[in-house]
Amino acid sequence: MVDPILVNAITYGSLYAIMCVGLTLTYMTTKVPNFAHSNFVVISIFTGATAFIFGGFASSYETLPLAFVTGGAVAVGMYLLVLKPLVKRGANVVVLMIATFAVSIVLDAVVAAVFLTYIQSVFAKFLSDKGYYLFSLNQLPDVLPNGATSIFGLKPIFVLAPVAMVLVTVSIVLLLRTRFGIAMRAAIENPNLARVLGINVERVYLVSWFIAGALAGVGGALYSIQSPTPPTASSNIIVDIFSGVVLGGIGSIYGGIVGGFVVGFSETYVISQLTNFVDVYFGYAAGSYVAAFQKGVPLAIMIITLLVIPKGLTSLDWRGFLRKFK
Amino acid sequence: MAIDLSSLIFVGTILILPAELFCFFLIVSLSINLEFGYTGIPNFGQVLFVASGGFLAGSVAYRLMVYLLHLKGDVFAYEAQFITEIDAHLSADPLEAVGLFLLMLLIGGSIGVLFGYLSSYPAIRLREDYLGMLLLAAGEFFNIFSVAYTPFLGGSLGSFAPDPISDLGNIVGQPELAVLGVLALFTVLIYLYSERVGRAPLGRTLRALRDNETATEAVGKDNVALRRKALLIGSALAGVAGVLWLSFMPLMTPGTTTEATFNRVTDTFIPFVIVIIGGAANNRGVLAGTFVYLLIYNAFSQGATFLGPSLYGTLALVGLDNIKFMLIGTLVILILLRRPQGLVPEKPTLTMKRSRLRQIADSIKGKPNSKDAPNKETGQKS
Repeated sequence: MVDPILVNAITYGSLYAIMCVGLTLTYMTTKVPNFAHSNFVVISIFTGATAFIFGGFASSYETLPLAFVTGGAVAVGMYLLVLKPLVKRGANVVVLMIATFAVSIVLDAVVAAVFLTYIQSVFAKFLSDKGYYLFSLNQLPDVLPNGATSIFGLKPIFVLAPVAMVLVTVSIVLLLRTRFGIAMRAAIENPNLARVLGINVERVYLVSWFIAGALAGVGGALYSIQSPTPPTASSNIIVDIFSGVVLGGIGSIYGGIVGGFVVGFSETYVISQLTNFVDVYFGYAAGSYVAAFQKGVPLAIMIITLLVIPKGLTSLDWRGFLRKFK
Repeated sequence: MAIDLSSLIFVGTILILPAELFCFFLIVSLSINLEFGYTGIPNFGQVLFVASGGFLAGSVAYRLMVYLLHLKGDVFAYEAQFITEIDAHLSADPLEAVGLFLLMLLIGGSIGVLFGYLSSYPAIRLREDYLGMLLLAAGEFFNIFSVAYTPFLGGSLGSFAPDPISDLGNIVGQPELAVLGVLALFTVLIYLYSERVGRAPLGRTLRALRDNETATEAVGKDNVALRRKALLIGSALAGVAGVLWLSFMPLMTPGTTTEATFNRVTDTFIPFVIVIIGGAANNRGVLAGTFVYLLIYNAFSQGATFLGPSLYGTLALVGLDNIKFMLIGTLVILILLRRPQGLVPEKPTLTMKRSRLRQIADSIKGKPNSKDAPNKETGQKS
């Protein structure tokens, strides 16, 4: 039998990898770390969950397209309404960061107003009959559309999350090789030169933001099947996303995938193993204190990365490293 | 015209909390202004310094008093009883209350300095975007940790901090006025200090450093030490602000999203909002920004009275607080777009009066008789 801790860690790793790709994409286009990225995740979680609870879907996987569109639409809206005008004004990176921080607070308030307060209070009886409380959302049921509750003897999410990560990676690799992908790389590398060559840089950026938000949405929808969502979810998730992006190297799309996976994996794996270890040697209560340090793992990874390899894993010379061993 | 005394007292009690919040936000915003406005350090983790100062000072003071009074039992299970006994003890012993308050301030300030020193290590080396991410993540980690590590504050239920100022005020029967007085005293002192720093060579050098790093380095300034100094002063002020917050909100509940405790909204975002609204690198602007924020805050907290029950009932379905944060966030974005300099734009610091400068210039040129020169006000040479 497969080690459950390992499977769990791989699942979290895959989910954070999917979320981190988007942040690197938006960083590469707009050159600002988007503090509202985790809010794309959370807003998609609640849209998907509400649709699932009210829509009578057989499986929560059926709401994935909705989460995809919601995340993408919110991201595009934010880019068009806030960041594009500010960039046009020539705002510096600190001003852009404050703007994304403001958007993050607004989106937090929107989620609190619409889902946690309005829908929760108006449909309180309906929700409690179904066993859901939006202000502290439980995991959504892990059932496939055909009613199956396991794939190869594993819970579906344990299989589908890594599969989704692989699919995202493959489609990004393919996308970067299409005509549009080449235009995208050119627009990121040197926007002015790309403009001269007739590439519509604005459209490229817009599509990048949509992809970023949509991937955050998909990551969020899968996350809501794997883990409960507290009202403070956006500030919990942002720690992992930033840490993953910094670990991978903020200027590289593949870095986002690698970094996100490593952070999500090690956070879950290290803390579970440490809790088991402490439980065995110091008794049960001691083990529960270890879990308090869970978000310390991504923070520590981030600090160590910034001190040792500030440009991230992808800046290392891996080919040269492998050559040494040959 | 006779003034109804009871209505005055009513207005006074309504205004006490906003006045206390005004003092708190002014102090935190002044520290953000020093770091972000003057020096250009984007400290998106201010909640780390405020919350660590407040939480550690509060919990250490509480445990110290429990130890000193020989109270037996679990500090969280018997909390209500312990806090009552501590308050009674402190009210009876003013000297000890003053001592405890000074100790709390010392703890808060030194925790601020300690974390400021730790974060100055990356702050002086990293680019703004990396630093912003690191500080934000550190602030979030501290908050998540304070909730999850129950021996610290008793988890999400929180715990009470001892309240020496209110206990002192109890002696004269005016606990709230005592708290407000102490807060106002600290606010005035810190404002004057910030004004002094802003005008002093340090403040002017910091602004030069913010505008052109290479230029300050070229004239022989130590950029690293300057940044570190700004961050240390700012985080020490933030730690002190955290302790002062406990004097009017003694319940320490980590991890909630409401405004009644430390979180990234209250202690990082709102101070940035205030600095942006008022105008960066400008203490008078911070004063104006705090005033505007408190106006918005008050309009919403008194909203139930003004809107009438039916409209209020409709709005309460989505939460008045949520509407407030949507409005404030939108306001900040609009200000960044339309008026990035804020209400009170930054001005160059005038160090001496122009006439005095002319006197000096003339005395160097060897014209000691400059006082007789005509047209002194306009500063034109006769």
